[in-house]
Amino acid sequence: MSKCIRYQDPTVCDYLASQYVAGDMTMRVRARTESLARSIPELSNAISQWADNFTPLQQALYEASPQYHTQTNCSHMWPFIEQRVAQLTISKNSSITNKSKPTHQNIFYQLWNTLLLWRVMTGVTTLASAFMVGVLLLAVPDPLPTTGPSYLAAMSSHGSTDQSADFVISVYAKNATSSSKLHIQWAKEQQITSQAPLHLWAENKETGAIEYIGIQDLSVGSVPLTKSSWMAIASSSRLFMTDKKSLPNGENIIFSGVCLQLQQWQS
Amino acid sequence: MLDKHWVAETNALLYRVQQRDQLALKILYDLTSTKLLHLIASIVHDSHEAEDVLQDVFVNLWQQADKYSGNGSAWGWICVMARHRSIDKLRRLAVRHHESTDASPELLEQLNIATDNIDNHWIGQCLKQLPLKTQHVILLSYIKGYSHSDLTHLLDTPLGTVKAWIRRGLQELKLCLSA
Repeated sequence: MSKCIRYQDPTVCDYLASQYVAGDMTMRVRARTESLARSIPELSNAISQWADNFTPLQQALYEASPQYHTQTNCSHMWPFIEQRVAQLTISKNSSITNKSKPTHQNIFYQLWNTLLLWRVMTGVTTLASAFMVGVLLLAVPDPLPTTGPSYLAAMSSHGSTDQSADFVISVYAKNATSSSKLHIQWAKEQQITSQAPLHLWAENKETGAIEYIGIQDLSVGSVPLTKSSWMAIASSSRLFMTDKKSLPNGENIIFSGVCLQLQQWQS
Repeated sequence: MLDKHWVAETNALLYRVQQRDQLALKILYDLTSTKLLHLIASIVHDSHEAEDVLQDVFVNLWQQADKYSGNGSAWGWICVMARHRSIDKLRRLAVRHHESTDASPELLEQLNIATDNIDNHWIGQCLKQLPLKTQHVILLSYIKGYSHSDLTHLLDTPLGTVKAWIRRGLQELKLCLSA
């Protein structure tokens, strides 16, 4: 049996996954398993299942030590993490800048100077590329605002016991340059399961009333919101997606997710 | 028990971290750090080392968030990462705090208290159906981060037997969980 087929066997996947999650692997074997999981979805799924199987055990033990929650404060460590993350961002940016320097002195640069025809052809190609980029920029929709979203909803298949989200809805407030927007980001390994557009609804957190937001094409990343849609989402506790334009009930909901207000945390 | 709202928040925040949102990382930290430190400390034991591991976990999370595929919960993914970092730290330090074999009955007792308080805690119920030895090795391995060879020394049992207990125990757990 070839290596790849062997790892697609559910029993082998399940055993490897349980060992991986339980921590019974050496670093080398663990790295190999991670590499396999990237190319074998069955293994990746088995790892996620075992990880979710074990987390309640961890939670039960955490809850069984109530003195721990009251006595432990982790806030003093955040500044160190923040500093390390900032350093990583700076060093990543500077390594990109530095990488461009040596290329001027390498052999290709010398060769470049000797080839007149190449230079002329590249000049023409650059002009053509610039023209194409200009055309594309006109066709591309507005980029997302640079500030973070105001609301988030991790949408899962309705009724699924799986804890993962199929996609995340991010809602951005309007600013000086763009209107408020709704953006859909699919989970990496999720396919767009519904080809037909779905109807989006918001449940009011105060009254429980269901308000209609509109029809949403799930393959479109970002769409502008009207003021009333924005208001409905801003005052919602949950979002629903239905296949038909009829009030969400147990039967017709395709996706649902808790709507989280991020601005509350930011303030 | 982990509530659905909390799990949804964690999922949504990790998606934001994938988009390089540092604020989301901070919120995720506020939401999960105490639980993670508890997890790490149960493996690493030394509180300063545990704090170092916690920092490493969040820096790693920032660097590797894009490896979260969306399969399973974000919290499950983060817990696995934290456990692996803790075990790595323990191996680097080459320190295994001596613990008597009473350690896991203590854990089982904690688990009993926890499961008595929480309805439908299926992992706890399933674990309690396993033979005592098997419960011990799984808890010592999963909660305390013991390697197979640590368990061999601790329980004075051959390596093959320890591996067989763990393998059989995990298979039985799986059967029980899917029943």
